[in-house]
Amino acid sequence: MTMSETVKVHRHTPSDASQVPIVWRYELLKYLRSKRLLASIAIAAVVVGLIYAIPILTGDGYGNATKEGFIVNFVQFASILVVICATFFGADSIVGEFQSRTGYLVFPTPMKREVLFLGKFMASMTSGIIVMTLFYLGVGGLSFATVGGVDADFFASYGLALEYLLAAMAVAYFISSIMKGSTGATVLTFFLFIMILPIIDGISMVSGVKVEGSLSFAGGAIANILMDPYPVDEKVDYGQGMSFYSFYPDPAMAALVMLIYAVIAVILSMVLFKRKQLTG
Amino acid sequence: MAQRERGQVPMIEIQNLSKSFGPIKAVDSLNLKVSKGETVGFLGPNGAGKTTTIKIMTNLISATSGRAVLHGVDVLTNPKQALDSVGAVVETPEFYPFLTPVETLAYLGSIRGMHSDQIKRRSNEVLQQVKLEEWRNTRIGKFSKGMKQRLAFGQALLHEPEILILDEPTSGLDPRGMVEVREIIRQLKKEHYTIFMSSHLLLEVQEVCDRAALIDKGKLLVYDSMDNLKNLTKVMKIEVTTVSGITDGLMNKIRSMKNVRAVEGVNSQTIVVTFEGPMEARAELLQAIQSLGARVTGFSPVGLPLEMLYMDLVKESR
Repeated sequence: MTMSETVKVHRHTPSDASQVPIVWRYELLKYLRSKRLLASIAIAAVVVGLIYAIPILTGDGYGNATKEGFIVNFVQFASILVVICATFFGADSIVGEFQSRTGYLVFPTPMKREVLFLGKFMASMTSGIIVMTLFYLGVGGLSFATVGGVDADFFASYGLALEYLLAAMAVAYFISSIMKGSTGATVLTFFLFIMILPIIDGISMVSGVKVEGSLSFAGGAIANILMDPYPVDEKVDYGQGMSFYSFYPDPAMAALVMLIYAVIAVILSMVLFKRKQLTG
Repeated sequence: MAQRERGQVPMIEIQNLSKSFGPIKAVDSLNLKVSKGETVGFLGPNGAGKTTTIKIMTNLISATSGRAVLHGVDVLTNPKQALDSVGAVVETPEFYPFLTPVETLAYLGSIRGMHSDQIKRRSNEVLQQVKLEEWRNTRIGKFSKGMKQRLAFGQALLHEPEILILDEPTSGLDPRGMVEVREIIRQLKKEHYTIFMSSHLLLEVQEVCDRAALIDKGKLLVYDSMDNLKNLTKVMKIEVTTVSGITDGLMNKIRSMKNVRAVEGVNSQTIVVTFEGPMEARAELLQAIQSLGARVTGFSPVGLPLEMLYMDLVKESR
């Protein structure tokens, strides 16, 4: 059939708000098809299985385990899982459109870059939330099965984990919007959270300066919130002027720090994405 | 479908468009107007500013100054509205490898506000048109460059845009694919689509386009109808065949003739003379060669007039 035989397409370009869910849907489909979502869930499942199995395999078992003690073991991995999600679902989201030249397909459409950004970010967050929710559901289920329930602060920990995910994802998007290659963005995102920020946190333990503004330090609240009573900062003197400091983020301050990171990083990366040019 | 009407309404209007990359001016105060229903070829050597202009027109890069108005809307200030009536293929775009052609078209159709039944119908039509029906549900990651280029063409046609902007539309295609794409462009031209296409292939532009714009170093050298451009051609190559044979002496004498720029031997009986001058001068050249004792059996222009003009103008601008 030639085009002259067809009926003219009547359409109205959707509003910005209507275009966001379209992008979201297809970005999610991409994560499903690329098996990134599946891989993240698999990592979470394997780690939960290993943490659960180790006490049994070493013969310690869970005979004297409390709800708090049982769950803390697992939730300490939550912040690492957040970093894995941010790396898998956020690190190459922006830079990928430029490096893999898919921008040539989507940028000449009647859609604002902000809309594309929001659709992508929402899809990344949705994927991360699915992984984190399944992780917490698995941990909660095992806790019920093993110690007869979950710790009272379990849901607060889940909430902080999701907020940490939001902040980490925003930072991953920011890195993605300033980098020129997907590999560099992915490596930088992962090592920023796994190595660079923890080194800064580590220095604070020696220097005695509490770095409340560190995102990874704030992420410590995800596990700390489960502890009853909540741990307080302490200083241990080793003599000869040597001291070692243990700092714990205040949960409210940690939540605020995460929120600030999320808001600033989202705004900056959206502006950078809008200004970025497809010159290659 | 009601056929698009041709007319003087400018569908594309580029006004004093400039783009600088540091000290380099990729596009320099470019002015161009494309009327409704016209097919315009955009020509120039590598680095002339063709792709940069097209990238500005399709919201891939910003301009330093000027305007690029599509269907009455400046793409630089309101890209969403300006690109609503545009279908574009810029370079060879990459597709999301985990999606199929049907899913990709559904995505882009939804973004453009097409209903699901329209998307389904038009997807069938364009996939048939670009000969990808049997690959409709195959993930694009498995496609060759040529297949991706054809799909890129398909997505540009999906929403039946008023304006088609094509950057090297036959790039990456095999000879058969190139012929097929040219056929599609001819068909679209009959339906009075407004088409703006850049190309290195002068034959392609000469065959398909109503008008051509030649640019170099970001500046417009000439913009006119194909017929007028052919008449502008001052330099041409003429193949001269004799039965008496071509000697070095004869070639040297022809080289020294008025209006002759170069003489190349093809074989013992044929030479190609690069010549600059009007029709009368061509007749004089023939007479002069014959007066040297050569028994001429063939005297005809070779090469494309547009190619000659292109080489001539680009050489002049450098």
